[in-house]
Amino acid sequence: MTRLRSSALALIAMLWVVAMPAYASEIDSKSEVESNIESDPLEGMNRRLFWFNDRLDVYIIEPVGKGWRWISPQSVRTSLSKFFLNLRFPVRFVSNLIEFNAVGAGEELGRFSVNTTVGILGFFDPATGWGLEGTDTDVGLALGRWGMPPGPYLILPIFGPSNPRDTLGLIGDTVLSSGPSLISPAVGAIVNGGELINLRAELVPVIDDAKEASFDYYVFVRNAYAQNRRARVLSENPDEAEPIEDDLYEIYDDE
Amino acid sequence: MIFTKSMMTNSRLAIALWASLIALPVCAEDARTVVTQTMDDVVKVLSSPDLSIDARRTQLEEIAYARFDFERMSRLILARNWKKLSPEQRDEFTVEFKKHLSTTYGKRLNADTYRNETIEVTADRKEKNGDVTVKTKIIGGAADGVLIDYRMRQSDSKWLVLDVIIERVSLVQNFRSQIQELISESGVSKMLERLREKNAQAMAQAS
Repeated sequence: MTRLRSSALALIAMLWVVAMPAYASEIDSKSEVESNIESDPLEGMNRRLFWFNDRLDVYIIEPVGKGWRWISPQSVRTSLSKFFLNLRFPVRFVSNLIEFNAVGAGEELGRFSVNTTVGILGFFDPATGWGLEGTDTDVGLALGRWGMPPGPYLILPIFGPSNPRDTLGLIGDTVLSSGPSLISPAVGAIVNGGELINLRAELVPVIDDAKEASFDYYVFVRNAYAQNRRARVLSENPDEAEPIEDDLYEIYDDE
Repeated sequence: MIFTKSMMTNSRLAIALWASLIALPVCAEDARTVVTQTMDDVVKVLSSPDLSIDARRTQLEEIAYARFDFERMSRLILARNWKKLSPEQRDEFTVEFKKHLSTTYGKRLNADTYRNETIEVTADRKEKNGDVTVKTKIIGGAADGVLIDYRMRQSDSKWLVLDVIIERVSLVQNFRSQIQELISESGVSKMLERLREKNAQAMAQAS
């Protein structure tokens, strides 16, 4: 396990080294139109991994997710999402601490206590009604809020869209949410598998629409990921996304 | 002479006054009110049980066509590529983009998937360039809590939708990125071809 982790770290370090010079030159020679929030110097490799992940989804994860969607009522899926969200409490708690956000950490602690007890293991969410709305954070966002740049776009095998910063964040999130695996590997597998399938079931209409409505699905996802992560890094409050660059709304004239 | 001149001024004044009275309700409408009204209209159409599918789609389209500034959106999406397009290609892009939005969004907004969700207008923010962003949130259903912002711009004293930002993802920026990729990979005419092809597919599936 330690070995796996250190080799993952080595891989990321390598990606930084390989990707950063390309990223830097990309910025210099940036085409005049393309926005630089979605630098993608490794597009060739990324597209291949994206395709691999999509096959994995289409042949395995999506059919299981659709099956689960078909047999389960919405209320069950909603409650399960809440349960898994509650289990991920350590991720948000620690991320708030990394951000030096004591209020946020306290709020998360309050939510976890209330929802685990009154909310029956987190299947229900009375805390929100009591004014504990929770925070929007993870380790990648916390690093971003400290000013760490995301780096170039990166598709991770199985895990999907990311960047070097968020990959580091993902490792942190994984360690922090490994509680169930500590009980036993079987419990860990059930929790992780269940979370994935329930999430995929909930995302059925979203992903179907995205594939259908996009002209280039790969670019659609890349841009959506970059925009979403950037806005969340910039926002303190989950409902207060920062404005996107102002020149986005400037009309270019003919001359 | 003086008499006629003052009469003319008077009648001009009267016309101006009359015009401003008519225009008043429109001016008084702020961006937030427009969004709230539009959302109410959409929910009303979605929740009326006796409408046929076609009637519902037509009504939703009418609402969208009255509230979206498709031409400006198209220009923003094309950004600096705008100058690479001939006037005919620009018109075609606008038409196809409009078609694209109404088929994809029209499908998303249908009665089968409508589960009495409501839309709450949570805040509005004045942008530096005079636009207003109106923030909304979906309440209830599978999409509970999803954030949708509308960037509004005033044009001829009417507030029109310039961009839709779903879960912090701007539609204009997302399309801009995709269109840019298509144009730089294979040129303007191939990009338009892809747009037409995609719309034809969507139309075939919708009917």
